[in-house]
Amino acid sequence: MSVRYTPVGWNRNKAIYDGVLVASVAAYLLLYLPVAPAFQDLTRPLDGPTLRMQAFGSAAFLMLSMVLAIGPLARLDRRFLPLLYNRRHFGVLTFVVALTHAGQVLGWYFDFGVADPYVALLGTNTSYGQVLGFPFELFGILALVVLAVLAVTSHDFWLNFLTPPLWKTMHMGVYAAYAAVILHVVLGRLQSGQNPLLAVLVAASVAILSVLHVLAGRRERARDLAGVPVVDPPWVDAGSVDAIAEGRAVVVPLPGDERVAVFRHKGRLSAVSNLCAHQNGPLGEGKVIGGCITCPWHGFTYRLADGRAPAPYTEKLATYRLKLDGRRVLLDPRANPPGTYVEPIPIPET
Amino acid sequence: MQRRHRTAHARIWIVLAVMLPLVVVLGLVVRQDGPGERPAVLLEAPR
Repeated sequence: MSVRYTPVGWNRNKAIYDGVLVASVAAYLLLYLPVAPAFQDLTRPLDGPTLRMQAFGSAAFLMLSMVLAIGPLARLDRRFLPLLYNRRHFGVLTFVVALTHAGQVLGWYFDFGVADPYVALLGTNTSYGQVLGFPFELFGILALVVLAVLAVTSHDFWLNFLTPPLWKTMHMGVYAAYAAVILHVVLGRLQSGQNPLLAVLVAASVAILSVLHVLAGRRERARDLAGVPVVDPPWVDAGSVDAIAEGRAVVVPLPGDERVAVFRHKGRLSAVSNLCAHQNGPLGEGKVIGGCITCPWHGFTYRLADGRAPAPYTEKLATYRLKLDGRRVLLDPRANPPGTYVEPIPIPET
Repeated sequence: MQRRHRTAHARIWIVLAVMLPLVVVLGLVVRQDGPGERPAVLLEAPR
């Protein structure tokens, strides 16, 4: 997090993440270029530019598939959370690789005629009425435009400017980009090549992503529907105090509303909104580090008692009142204004 | 995520999980194989 504009707020974790990312992409490309010709159709040998556009195109496809898998994987298993930490850089690099693929295509297929390459790209094939031979390039252009918008607006400046809900809605456009990429590949390369590897790759990507997202969605829905009993209106039962581990939280789904994270720290309980003020990350899945709630997604921190980020930061969360009934934790579901101080309640000795 | 984002996300993926496999399968079904009598090796043009 930052209180003034910085292009990238580098830290050790981000440097390692990006280093591994760039090295992996470079390794893939360096491996693809000498190995792919071994699998080529002997009657249609690959030329250098085609090989390069295939290398960058397949890399971008794999990267986009991985970017889309990180979210549900992290929801289903906490061990994938580190991958979420710098996912935006992963997305930006995916756009750069896809743009390089597009540049290779333009430079090879459309750069030698009399027409402008961009005009030729859009005007050469106008067979819109048929499946086979459909101008699949259009879907690639659509995906590239969406990825460009997402890459440009991936910085925290745009997140703050647009507000997290709008930014999040806009960045769901990545699903449209993925659908467009699938159409681009299925109507394009999959029709012109006989290599079964590509068909397997595309089918596996679609199957894995569909299963992961549907499974993660079902789990979230089950949590939302679980609800909590109202025991002493308006107080709701948030469970046993003994179910909350030290430095951790339980997430309480409020009926028809958002979720609340009830934290236990040094013998006291505090409750804040489960939504991080940065990107709506699930705070209740984070832990208390240095006396502050730490978001599992990007490490934003908040004080337990008032939900405010420590100075000089200005983010703040809605807080909630708690009380104990024996070992049961009761929660007042009416949110206090963000940043309202609520004295953490002490947990009696057993 | 906010509840409305979770709901939107779930609805989008229910649609994609049906549509995308269908697109891939249809794409493979309509795919045309190359000519069966193609030579097994590349024939070079006479010099």
